[in-house]
Amino acid sequence: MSSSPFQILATEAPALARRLAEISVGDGPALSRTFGAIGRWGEHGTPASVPADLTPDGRMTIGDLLRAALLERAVPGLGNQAPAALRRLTQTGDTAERVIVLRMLHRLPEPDRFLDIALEACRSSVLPVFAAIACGNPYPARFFPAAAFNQLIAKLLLSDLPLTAVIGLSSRRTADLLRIAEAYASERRAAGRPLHPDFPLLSNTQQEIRP
Amino acid sequence: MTMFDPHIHMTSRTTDDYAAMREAGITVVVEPAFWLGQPRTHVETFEDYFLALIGWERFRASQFGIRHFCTMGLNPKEANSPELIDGVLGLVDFYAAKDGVVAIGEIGYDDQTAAEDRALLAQIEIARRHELPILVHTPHRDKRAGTLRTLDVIREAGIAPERVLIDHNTEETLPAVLDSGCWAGHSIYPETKMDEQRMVALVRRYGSERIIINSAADWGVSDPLKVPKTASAMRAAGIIESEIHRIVWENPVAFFAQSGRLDIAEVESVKAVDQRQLWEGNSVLRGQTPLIDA
Ligand SMILES: [Zn+2]
Repeated sequence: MSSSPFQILATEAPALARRLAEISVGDGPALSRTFGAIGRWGEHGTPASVPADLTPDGRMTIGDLLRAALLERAVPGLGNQAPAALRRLTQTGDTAERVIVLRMLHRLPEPDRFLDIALEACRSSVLPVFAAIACGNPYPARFFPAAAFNQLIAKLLLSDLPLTAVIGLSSRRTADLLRIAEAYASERRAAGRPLHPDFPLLSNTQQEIRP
Repeated sequence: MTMFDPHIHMTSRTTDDYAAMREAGITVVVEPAFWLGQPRTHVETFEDYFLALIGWERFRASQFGIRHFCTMGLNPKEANSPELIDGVLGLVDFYAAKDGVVAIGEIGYDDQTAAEDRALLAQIEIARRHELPILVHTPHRDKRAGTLRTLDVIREAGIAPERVLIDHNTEETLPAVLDSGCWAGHSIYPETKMDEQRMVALVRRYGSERIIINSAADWGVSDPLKVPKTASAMRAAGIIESEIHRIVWENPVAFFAQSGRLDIAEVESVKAVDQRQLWEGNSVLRGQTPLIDA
């Protein structure tokens, strides 16, 4: 894993890092309040470098970085309260807040505890929220059950998001996923509509099929 | 020709939409309970939504000469919120008893999860208890497999197929739905699902028996006039008037009349507009002159 959000913050905005280090977030409600407001501490500027898993398109504000750093520092201290606290963050957050939580899930302790949060994001109709879990995020390939991973791909095929942005797709190319992809293609042809440009990545003729 | 839009989410639409729909000949709508575009976080917000469906929205429709019915249900998207399911199913059971409720719906599959299975089966039971037909949503993703699974569940549950409307059909799902004996709904959308010309082709091929069309208009890109527009497209393609009338009127009336709460004679007498009426002291008007039909 590349460098931590807090380390990047300490390099790029040392004053903000010091301010962040001074606050203590002892429980879920305190985390929610701080998480909402902290995005405005550093309105000005964008970080010079950020890890690709936090922002595959390279767009991130100092406020986003502050939120990521806050999660990195506060979540380990929440112990077994963490899943409920993060669930609350995604339920009550605006889109920017949700996106950061989703991108950070795989970097937090015991990420499998956050599976239901990630699955819920897959159901979102807010495209940036869905993209935050589907694209450039290692979480689904690592932790999703097969049916949920296949739903993610099926949803992506109906969007303009690139299939190439899904991390670990080749490790999840099962016969069932290919069946779903074929059914999608058949339905599109019957409707006289074009296929997703990345569809060939899922066609039977590519690579070997996993059982 | 008077028309029926049997699937439209009017809570997301404006009074301009109501006026245009009435102008185009729509006199009856069914508003299925659905989600709000994002999942709700409390059981109680479902209750306020259900109350709006049977209260303010029905009144708003009446102000434009449109008879408004609704369906009650926990939609498949939110059936995946474990902390909500039991509470919401209790509310569905309670509000299913209300006068304007003509079906349980929209229920069915979205992600095709175990939680969706549970909610679907529980709501088929609620429908049975209240002697209501059911309106079934079919999934957007992996649609054919999801539709076949839905038909299996309905067969196993033993609910009579003529009391089931399977919605959002495509070229690939319609044959199986017609074979099952269920009614087949088609949502005519500007971009996804189904369009006017494809619908014309389906009617040419399969006829009008148990065929229903709707706009499924909601908070997304959608068009509340798709029922009259599709009727025009069918007319332009030479489909005879009696078949069009069957699709945009007789079929949805016959299906929802099975609830015992939609009186055919009453919906056939065009509802007069009287915008002087108030709902709990409120009017839909903002200082305009009320429209009153003689
Ligand atoms: Zn709907």
